[in-house]
Amino acid sequence: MLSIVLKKTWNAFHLDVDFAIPKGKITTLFGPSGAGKSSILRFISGLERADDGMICYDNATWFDNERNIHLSPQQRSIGFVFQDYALFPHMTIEQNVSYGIDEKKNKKNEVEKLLSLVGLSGYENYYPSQLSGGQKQRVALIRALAKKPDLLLMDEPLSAVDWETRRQLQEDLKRIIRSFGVTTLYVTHDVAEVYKLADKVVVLQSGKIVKQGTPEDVFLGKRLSTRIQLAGKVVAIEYDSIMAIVTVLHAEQYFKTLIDTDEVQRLNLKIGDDVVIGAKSSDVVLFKALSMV
Amino acid sequence: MACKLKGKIVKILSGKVHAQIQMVWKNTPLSVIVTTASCEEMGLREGDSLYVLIKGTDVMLAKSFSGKLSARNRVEGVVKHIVHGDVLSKVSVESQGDLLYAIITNMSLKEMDIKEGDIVTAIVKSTELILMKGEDE
Repeated sequence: MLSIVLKKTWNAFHLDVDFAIPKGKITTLFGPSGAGKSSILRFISGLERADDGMICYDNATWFDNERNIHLSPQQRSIGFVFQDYALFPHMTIEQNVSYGIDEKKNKKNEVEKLLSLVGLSGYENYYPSQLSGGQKQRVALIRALAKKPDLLLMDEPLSAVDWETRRQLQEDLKRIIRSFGVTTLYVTHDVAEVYKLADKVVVLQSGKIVKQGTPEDVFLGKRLSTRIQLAGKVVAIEYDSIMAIVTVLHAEQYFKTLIDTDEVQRLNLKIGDDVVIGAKSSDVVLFKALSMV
Repeated sequence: MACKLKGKIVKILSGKVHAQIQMVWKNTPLSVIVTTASCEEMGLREGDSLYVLIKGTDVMLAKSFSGKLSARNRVEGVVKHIVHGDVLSKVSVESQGDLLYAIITNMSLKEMDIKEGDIVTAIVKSTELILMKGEDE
Protein backbone atom coordinates (compact mmCIF):
# COMPACT_ATOMS: atom_id res chain seq x y z
CA MET A 1 0.00 0.00 0.00
CA LEU A 2 1.13 3.51 -0.76
CA SER A 3 0.14 5.96 1.95
CA ILE A 4 0.24 9.65 1.21
CA VAL A 5 -0.03 12.60 3.57
CA LEU A 6 0.83 15.92 1.95
CA LYS A 7 0.60 19.60 2.78
CA LYS A 8 1.70 22.38 0.49
CA THR A 9 0.83 26.05 0.18
CA TRP A 10 1.28 28.18 -2.94
CA ASN A 11 0.09 31.74 -2.32
CA ALA A 12 -3.66 31.31 -1.68
CA PHE A 13 -3.86 27.65 -2.69
CA HIS A 14 -3.55 25.02 0.03
CA LEU A 15 -3.09 21.36 -0.74
CA ASP A 16 -3.92 19.13 2.23
CA VAL A 17 -4.48 15.44 1.50
CA ASP A 18 -4.30 12.12 3.34
CA PHE A 19 -5.13 8.96 1.42
CA ALA A 20 -3.92 5.47 0.57
CA ILE A 21 -3.54 3.55 -2.69
CA PRO A 22 -4.18 -0.20 -2.35
CA LYS A 23 -1.42 -2.46 -3.64
CA GLY A 24 -1.95 -3.97 -7.08
CA LYS A 25 -5.11 -1.92 -7.69
CA ILE A 26 -5.98 1.00 -9.94
CA THR A 27 -6.82 4.15 -8.01
CA THR A 28 -8.05 7.19 -9.89
CA LEU A 29 -7.46 10.71 -8.71
CA PHE A 30 -10.48 12.57 -9.99
CA GLY A 31 -11.25 16.28 -9.99
CA PRO A 32 -11.48 19.45 -12.05
CA SER A 33 -8.48 21.31 -13.47
CA GLY A 34 -6.59 23.16 -10.78
CA ALA A 35 -7.70 20.82 -7.97
CA GLY A 36 -4.09 19.76 -7.31
CA LYS A 37 -4.08 16.33 -9.02
CA SER A 38 -0.88 16.76 -11.02
CA SER A 39 0.88 18.39 -8.06
CA ILE A 40 0.20 15.27 -6.01
CA LEU A 41 1.82 13.15 -8.75
CA ARG A 42 4.90 15.41 -8.71
CA PHE A 43 5.22 15.03 -4.94
CA ILE A 44 4.80 11.25 -5.10
CA SER A 45 7.37 10.99 -7.87
CA GLY A 46 9.87 13.12 -5.97
CA LEU A 47 10.05 15.81 -8.65
CA GLU A 48 8.85 18.32 -6.07
CA ARG A 49 8.84 18.45 -2.30
CA ALA A 50 5.80 19.19 -0.17
CA ASP A 51 5.94 21.55 2.83
CA ASP A 52 4.99 18.74 5.16
CA GLY A 53 3.80 15.14 5.19
CA MET A 54 4.89 11.61 4.53
CA ILE A 55 4.86 9.17 1.59
CA CYS A 56 5.45 5.49 2.35
CA TYR A 57 5.33 2.48 0.05
CA ASP A 58 4.88 -0.57 2.28
CA ASN A 59 7.78 -0.27 4.73
CA ALA A 60 9.85 2.10 2.60
CA THR A 61 9.69 5.81 3.36
CA TRP A 62 10.00 7.93 0.21
CA PHE A 63 9.29 11.22 1.93
CA ASP A 64 9.10 12.29 5.55
CA ASN A 65 9.46 15.98 6.14
CA GLU A 66 10.03 15.66 9.89
CA ARG A 67 12.85 13.16 9.42
CA ASN A 68 14.12 15.08 6.41
CA ILE A 69 13.78 12.06 4.12
CA HIS A 70 13.20 12.92 0.46
CA LEU A 71 14.27 10.21 -1.97
CA SER A 72 15.12 11.30 -5.49
CA PRO A 73 12.82 10.18 -8.36
CA GLN A 74 15.43 7.55 -9.31
CA GLN A 75 15.36 6.07 -5.81
CA ARG A 76 11.59 5.58 -5.95
CA SER A 77 10.42 2.65 -8.05
CA ILE A 78 7.99 4.54 -10.25
CA GLY A 79 6.85 4.35 -13.87
CA PHE A 80 5.31 7.42 -15.51
CA VAL A 81 2.87 7.81 -18.35
CA PHE A 82 2.06 11.34 -19.43
CA GLN A 83 -0.62 12.84 -21.62
CA ASP A 84 1.95 13.86 -24.27
CA TYR A 85 3.57 10.36 -24.35
CA ALA A 86 7.09 11.74 -23.64
CA LEU A 87 8.71 9.27 -26.06
CA PHE A 88 12.20 10.03 -27.32
CA PRO A 89 11.56 11.24 -30.90
CA HIS A 90 15.05 10.36 -32.19
CA MET A 91 14.85 6.77 -30.95
CA THR A 92 13.04 3.86 -32.59
CA ILE A 93 10.20 2.15 -30.77
CA GLU A 94 12.57 -0.67 -29.79
CA GLN A 95 15.07 1.82 -28.37
CA ASN A 96 12.33 3.71 -26.53
CA VAL A 97 11.04 0.53 -24.86
CA SER A 98 14.58 -0.82 -24.22
CA TYR A 99 15.35 2.34 -22.32
CA GLY A 100 13.26 1.12 -19.39
CA ILE A 101 14.57 -2.46 -19.33
CA ASP A 102 17.13 -3.73 -16.88
CA GLU A 103 20.62 -4.04 -18.46
CA LYS A 104 20.97 -7.64 -17.31
CA LYS A 105 17.98 -8.83 -19.29
CA ASN A 106 17.79 -9.87 -22.93
CA LYS A 107 16.45 -6.55 -24.09
CA LYS A 108 15.43 -7.68 -27.56
CA ASN A 109 13.29 -10.53 -26.22
CA GLU A 110 11.73 -8.31 -23.58
CA VAL A 111 10.87 -5.63 -26.16
CA GLU A 112 9.28 -8.22 -28.44
CA LYS A 113 7.24 -9.60 -25.57
CA LEU A 114 6.06 -6.16 -24.48
CA LEU A 115 5.21 -4.97 -27.98
CA SER A 116 3.17 -8.09 -28.64
CA LEU A 117 1.28 -7.43 -25.41
CA VAL A 118 0.01 -4.15 -26.84
CA GLY A 119 -0.48 -5.38 -30.41
CA LEU A 120 2.56 -3.56 -31.81
CA SER A 121 4.71 -6.50 -32.93
CA GLY A 122 6.67 -5.50 -36.03
CA TYR A 123 6.86 -1.82 -35.07
CA GLU A 124 10.36 -2.15 -33.54
CA ASN A 125 12.06 0.03 -36.16
CA TYR A 126 9.39 2.70 -36.44
CA TYR A 127 9.91 6.16 -34.95
CA PRO A 128 7.30 7.76 -32.64
CA SER A 129 6.34 10.26 -35.38
CA GLN A 130 5.19 7.33 -37.54
CA LEU A 131 2.69 6.10 -34.93
CA SER A 132 -0.84 7.23 -34.14
CA GLY A 133 -1.64 8.82 -30.76
CA GLY A 134 -3.09 5.56 -29.47
CA GLN A 135 -0.03 3.56 -30.56
CA LYS A 136 2.33 6.10 -28.96
CA GLN A 137 0.45 5.82 -25.69
CA ARG A 138 0.68 2.02 -25.78
CA VAL A 139 4.44 2.34 -26.25
CA ALA A 140 4.64 4.85 -23.40
CA LEU A 141 2.77 2.41 -21.16
CA ILE A 142 4.98 -0.59 -21.83
CA ARG A 143 8.11 1.56 -21.53
CA ALA A 144 6.90 2.62 -18.07
CA LEU A 145 6.08 -0.96 -17.11
CA ALA A 146 9.26 -2.47 -18.59
CA LYS A 147 11.31 -1.76 -15.49
CA LYS A 148 8.61 -3.40 -13.31
CA PRO A 149 8.00 -0.40 -11.05
CA ASP A 150 6.29 -0.64 -7.66
CA LEU A 151 4.05 2.23 -8.66
CA LEU A 152 2.68 3.43 -11.99
CA LEU A 153 1.65 7.08 -12.22
CA MET A 154 -0.55 8.11 -15.13
CA ASP A 155 -1.37 11.77 -15.67
CA GLU A 156 -4.46 12.05 -17.90
CA PRO A 157 -2.82 9.68 -20.39
CA LEU A 158 -5.76 9.53 -22.77
CA SER A 159 -6.82 13.15 -22.98
CA ALA A 160 -4.81 13.76 -26.18
CA VAL A 161 -6.38 10.93 -28.19
CA ASP A 162 -9.70 10.93 -30.00
CA TRP A 163 -12.77 9.52 -28.37
CA GLU A 164 -12.95 6.16 -30.17
CA THR A 165 -9.25 5.48 -29.56
CA ARG A 166 -9.73 6.49 -25.97
CA ARG A 167 -12.40 3.86 -25.41
CA GLN A 168 -10.24 1.14 -26.94
CA LEU A 169 -7.17 2.27 -24.99
CA GLN A 170 -9.08 2.21 -21.71
CA GLU A 171 -9.77 -1.49 -22.28
CA ASP A 172 -6.14 -2.13 -23.20
CA LEU A 173 -4.76 -0.16 -20.26
CA LYS A 174 -6.92 -2.02 -17.79
CA ARG A 175 -5.93 -5.40 -19.22
CA ILE A 176 -2.22 -4.60 -19.31
CA ILE A 177 -2.07 -2.94 -15.89
CA ARG A 178 -3.95 -5.88 -14.37
CA SER A 179 -1.63 -8.39 -16.01
CA PHE A 180 1.37 -6.63 -14.44
CA GLY A 181 -0.45 -6.27 -11.11
CA VAL A 182 1.19 -2.91 -10.61
CA THR A 183 -0.16 -0.42 -8.08
CA THR A 184 -1.47 2.45 -10.19
CA LEU A 185 -2.50 6.03 -9.57
CA TYR A 186 -4.38 7.38 -12.57
CA VAL A 187 -5.33 11.05 -12.88
CA THR A 188 -8.47 11.83 -14.84
CA HIS A 189 -11.45 14.18 -14.95
CA ASP A 190 -13.63 11.74 -16.92
CA VAL A 191 -16.30 9.94 -14.84
CA ALA A 192 -16.78 7.20 -17.43
CA GLU A 193 -13.04 6.53 -17.32
CA VAL A 194 -13.18 6.23 -13.54
CA TYR A 195 -16.00 3.68 -13.80
CA LYS A 196 -14.17 1.75 -16.48
CA LEU A 197 -10.76 1.57 -14.83
CA ALA A 198 -10.84 2.22 -11.15
CA ASP A 199 -10.99 -0.04 -8.13
CA LYS A 200 -10.94 3.09 -6.00
CA VAL A 201 -11.51 6.77 -6.72
CA VAL A 202 -10.25 9.72 -4.72
CA VAL A 203 -12.12 12.94 -5.47
CA LEU A 204 -10.12 16.11 -5.12
CA GLN A 205 -11.51 19.63 -5.02
CA SER A 206 -9.48 22.78 -4.39
CA GLY A 207 -6.63 20.82 -2.82
CA LYS A 208 -8.82 18.74 -0.49
CA ILE A 209 -10.19 15.21 -0.69
CA VAL A 210 -13.96 15.44 -0.68
CA LYS A 211 -14.83 11.76 -1.20
CA GLN A 212 -13.12 8.43 -1.69
CA GLY A 213 -14.24 4.84 -2.23
CA THR A 214 -15.39 2.63 -5.06
CA PRO A 215 -16.74 4.54 -8.10
CA GLU A 216 -20.26 3.27 -7.30
CA ASP A 217 -20.07 4.49 -3.71
CA VAL A 218 -18.54 7.82 -4.59
CA PHE A 219 -20.71 8.85 -7.52
CA LEU A 220 -24.00 7.35 -6.44
CA GLY A 221 -23.18 6.79 -2.78
CA LYS A 222 -25.61 3.88 -2.65
CA ARG A 223 -28.27 6.52 -2.98
CA LEU A 224 -30.40 4.83 -5.62
CA SER A 225 -32.43 1.67 -5.19
CA THR A 226 -31.97 0.67 -8.86
CA ARG A 227 -29.91 -2.51 -9.23
CA ILE A 228 -28.80 -1.50 -12.71
CA GLN A 229 -26.48 1.49 -12.73
CA LEU A 230 -24.34 2.03 -15.79
CA ALA A 231 -21.94 4.92 -16.27
CA GLY A 232 -21.64 6.18 -19.79
CA LYS A 233 -21.43 9.11 -22.12
CA VAL A 234 -24.25 10.88 -23.91
CA VAL A 235 -23.68 10.39 -27.65
CA ALA A 236 -26.99 11.62 -29.09
CA ILE A 237 -30.10 13.50 -28.05
CA GLU A 238 -33.15 13.36 -30.34
CA TYR A 239 -36.10 15.53 -29.47
CA ASP A 240 -39.71 14.57 -29.91
CA SER A 241 -42.47 17.01 -28.96
CA ILE A 242 -42.48 16.13 -25.26
CA MET A 243 -39.91 13.37 -24.86
CA ALA A 244 -36.27 13.10 -25.86
CA ILE A 245 -34.37 9.96 -26.71
CA VAL A 246 -30.97 10.19 -25.06
CA THR A 247 -28.47 7.64 -26.37
CA VAL A 248 -25.79 6.65 -23.88
CA LEU A 249 -22.68 4.68 -24.74
CA HIS A 250 -21.60 2.25 -22.04
CA ALA A 251 -18.89 -0.39 -22.58
CA GLU A 252 -19.26 -0.50 -26.39
CA GLN A 253 -23.06 -0.74 -26.11
CA TYR A 254 -25.60 1.95 -26.93
CA PHE A 255 -28.52 2.41 -24.55
CA LYS A 256 -31.49 4.52 -25.55
CA THR A 257 -33.35 6.19 -22.71
CA LEU A 258 -36.58 8.12 -22.89
CA ILE A 259 -36.47 11.38 -20.94
CA ASP A 260 -38.84 14.29 -20.58
CA THR A 261 -37.55 17.19 -22.74
CA ASP A 262 -37.98 19.56 -19.77
CA GLU A 263 -35.68 17.26 -17.81
CA VAL A 264 -33.05 17.37 -20.54
CA GLN A 265 -33.11 21.15 -20.33
CA ARG A 266 -33.12 21.26 -16.55
CA LEU A 267 -30.07 19.00 -16.40
CA ASN A 268 -28.50 20.96 -19.29
CA LEU A 269 -27.74 17.57 -20.82
CA LYS A 270 -25.33 17.71 -23.75
CA ILE A 271 -23.54 15.28 -26.03
CA GLY A 272 -20.33 14.20 -24.30
CA ASP A 273 -21.75 14.52 -20.76
CA ASP A 274 -20.98 11.72 -18.32
CA VAL A 275 -24.17 10.18 -16.97
CA VAL A 276 -25.36 7.18 -15.02
CA ILE A 277 -28.28 5.10 -16.28
CA GLY A 278 -30.40 3.75 -13.45
CA ALA A 279 -33.00 1.05 -14.10
CA LYS A 280 -35.00 -1.27 -11.90
CA SER A 281 -34.19 -4.94 -12.31
CA SER A 282 -37.92 -5.61 -12.59
CA ASP A 283 -38.08 -3.49 -15.77
CA VAL A 284 -35.68 -5.69 -17.72
CA VAL A 285 -36.70 -8.34 -20.23
CA LEU A 286 -34.34 -11.28 -20.64
CA PHE A 287 -34.04 -13.61 -23.63
CA LYS A 288 -31.74 -16.52 -24.11
CA ALA A 289 -29.34 -15.44 -26.82
CA LEU A 290 -30.13 -18.39 -29.10
CA SER A 291 -33.86 -17.82 -28.97
CA MET A 292 -33.27 -14.44 -30.61
CA VAL A 293 -31.78 -16.06 -33.74
CA MET B 1 -34.94 12.18 -14.41
CA ALA B 2 -38.41 11.97 -12.88
CA CYS B 3 -40.65 13.72 -10.44
CA LYS B 4 -39.51 13.46 -6.84
CA LEU B 5 -41.63 13.22 -3.76
CA LYS B 6 -39.97 13.44 -0.38
CA GLY B 7 -41.42 10.95 2.04
CA LYS B 8 -40.68 9.05 5.23
CA ILE B 9 -40.37 5.30 5.69
CA VAL B 10 -43.00 4.02 8.11
CA LYS B 11 -42.51 0.28 7.70
CA ILE B 12 -40.24 -2.17 5.91
CA LEU B 13 -41.53 -5.64 5.07
CA SER B 14 -38.47 -7.69 4.17
CA GLY B 15 -38.67 -10.88 2.15
CA LYS B 16 -35.97 -13.15 0.80
CA VAL B 17 -35.50 -11.24 -2.45
CA HIS B 18 -37.70 -8.18 -2.18
CA ALA B 19 -38.58 -5.62 0.43
CA GLN B 20 -41.73 -3.55 0.49
CA ILE B 21 -41.01 -0.08 1.73
CA GLN B 22 -44.11 1.58 3.08
CA MET B 23 -43.83 5.35 3.12
CA VAL B 24 -45.84 8.44 3.78
CA TRP B 25 -45.55 11.46 1.53
CA LYS B 26 -47.37 14.32 3.23
CA ASN B 27 -50.68 12.57 3.99
CA THR B 28 -50.52 9.98 1.27
CA PRO B 29 -49.22 6.43 1.75
CA LEU B 30 -46.77 5.19 -0.87
CA SER B 31 -45.46 1.70 -1.43
CA VAL B 32 -42.15 0.91 -3.10
CA ILE B 33 -40.70 -2.50 -3.91
CA VAL B 34 -36.91 -2.76 -3.92
CA THR B 35 -34.62 -5.76 -3.71
CA THR B 36 -33.50 -6.68 -0.21
CA ALA B 37 -29.95 -6.17 -1.51
CA SER B 38 -30.76 -2.53 -2.36
CA CYS B 39 -32.51 -2.12 0.98
CA GLU B 40 -29.41 -3.33 2.83
CA GLU B 41 -26.90 -1.44 0.69
CA MET B 42 -28.83 1.80 1.10
CA GLY B 43 -29.15 1.12 4.82
CA LEU B 44 -32.89 1.83 4.77
CA ARG B 45 -34.50 2.14 8.20
CA GLU B 46 -37.93 3.02 9.44
CA GLY B 47 -38.07 6.75 10.04
CA ASP B 48 -35.64 7.61 7.21
CA SER B 49 -36.59 10.49 4.92
CA LEU B 50 -35.87 9.95 1.25
CA TYR B 51 -37.08 10.69 -2.24
CA VAL B 52 -39.42 8.55 -4.29
CA LEU B 53 -38.72 8.95 -8.01
CA ILE B 54 -41.60 8.48 -10.40
CA LYS B 55 -41.10 8.40 -14.16
CA GLY B 56 -43.90 10.06 -16.08
CA THR B 57 -44.12 7.10 -18.46
CA ASP B 58 -44.95 4.83 -15.50
CA VAL B 59 -47.89 6.92 -14.33
CA MET B 60 -51.48 6.02 -15.26
CA LEU B 61 -54.31 8.50 -14.87
CA ALA B 62 -57.84 7.68 -13.81
CA LYS B 63 -60.87 9.92 -13.70
CA SER B 64 -63.76 9.33 -11.30
CA PHE B 65 -61.74 6.42 -9.99
CA SER B 66 -63.56 3.72 -8.04
CA GLY B 67 -63.39 -0.03 -7.60
CA LYS B 68 -60.48 -2.25 -6.69
CA LEU B 69 -57.05 -2.09 -8.26
CA SER B 70 -53.86 -3.91 -7.41
CA ALA B 71 -51.63 -0.84 -7.90
CA ARG B 72 -50.69 0.42 -4.43
CA ASN B 73 -49.90 4.04 -5.23
CA ARG B 74 -52.84 6.34 -5.93
CA VAL B 75 -52.50 10.08 -5.69
CA GLU B 76 -55.42 12.39 -6.27
CA GLY B 77 -54.68 15.80 -7.76
CA VAL B 78 -55.74 18.56 -10.11
CA VAL B 79 -54.63 18.78 -13.74
CA LYS B 80 -52.59 22.00 -13.95
CA HIS B 81 -51.19 21.84 -17.45
CA ILE B 82 -51.22 19.68 -20.56
CA VAL B 83 -48.52 19.65 -23.26
CA HIS B 84 -49.74 17.96 -26.42
CA GLY B 85 -47.27 15.95 -28.46
CA ASP B 86 -47.89 14.19 -31.74
CA VAL B 87 -48.67 10.81 -30.13
CA LEU B 88 -48.14 11.37 -26.41
CA SER B 89 -49.10 14.16 -24.05
CA LYS B 90 -47.61 15.28 -20.78
CA VAL B 91 -50.17 15.95 -18.07
CA SER B 92 -49.02 17.84 -14.96
CA VAL B 93 -50.98 16.98 -11.86
CA GLU B 94 -50.72 19.02 -8.67
CA SER B 95 -51.21 17.21 -5.42
CA GLN B 96 -50.43 18.49 -1.92
CA GLY B 97 -48.20 21.19 -3.32
CA ASP B 98 -46.07 18.87 -5.48
CA LEU B 99 -46.25 18.25 -9.20
CA LEU B 100 -46.46 14.82 -10.78
CA TYR B 101 -46.27 14.15 -14.48
CA ALA B 102 -48.05 11.52 -16.49
CA ILE B 103 -47.08 10.72 -20.05
CA ILE B 104 -50.18 9.26 -21.67
CA THR B 105 -51.36 8.71 -25.23
CA ASN B 106 -53.31 11.42 -26.98
CA MET B 107 -55.96 8.76 -27.56
CA SER B 108 -56.45 8.27 -23.79
CA LEU B 109 -56.37 12.01 -23.21
CA LYS B 110 -59.16 12.45 -25.74
CA GLU B 111 -61.23 9.44 -24.66
CA MET B 112 -61.05 10.49 -21.00
CA ASP B 113 -61.61 14.13 -21.95
CA ILE B 114 -58.88 15.28 -19.57
CA LYS B 115 -58.74 19.07 -19.24
CA GLU B 116 -56.95 21.54 -17.02
CA GLY B 117 -58.76 21.81 -13.68
CA ASP B 118 -60.01 18.20 -13.75
CA ILE B 119 -59.54 16.05 -10.68
CA VAL B 120 -57.66 12.88 -11.56
CA THR B 121 -55.94 10.02 -9.76
CA ALA B 122 -52.35 9.24 -10.66
CA ILE B 123 -51.67 5.52 -10.27
CA VAL B 124 -48.31 3.76 -10.15
CA LYS B 125 -47.38 0.18 -9.27
CA SER B 126 -44.98 -0.28 -6.34
CA THR B 127 -42.47 -2.04 -8.58
CA GLU B 128 -42.10 1.06 -10.77
CA LEU B 129 -40.94 3.45 -8.09
CA ILE B 130 -37.29 4.18 -7.34
CA LEU B 131 -35.90 5.35 -4.02
CA MET B 132 -33.14 7.94 -3.76
CA LYS B 133 -31.34 9.04 -0.64
CA GLY B 134 -29.80 12.35 0.24
CA GLU B 135 -28.68 15.07 -2.16
CA ASP B 136 -31.02 16.36 -4.80
CA GLU B 137 -29.31 15.17 -7.96
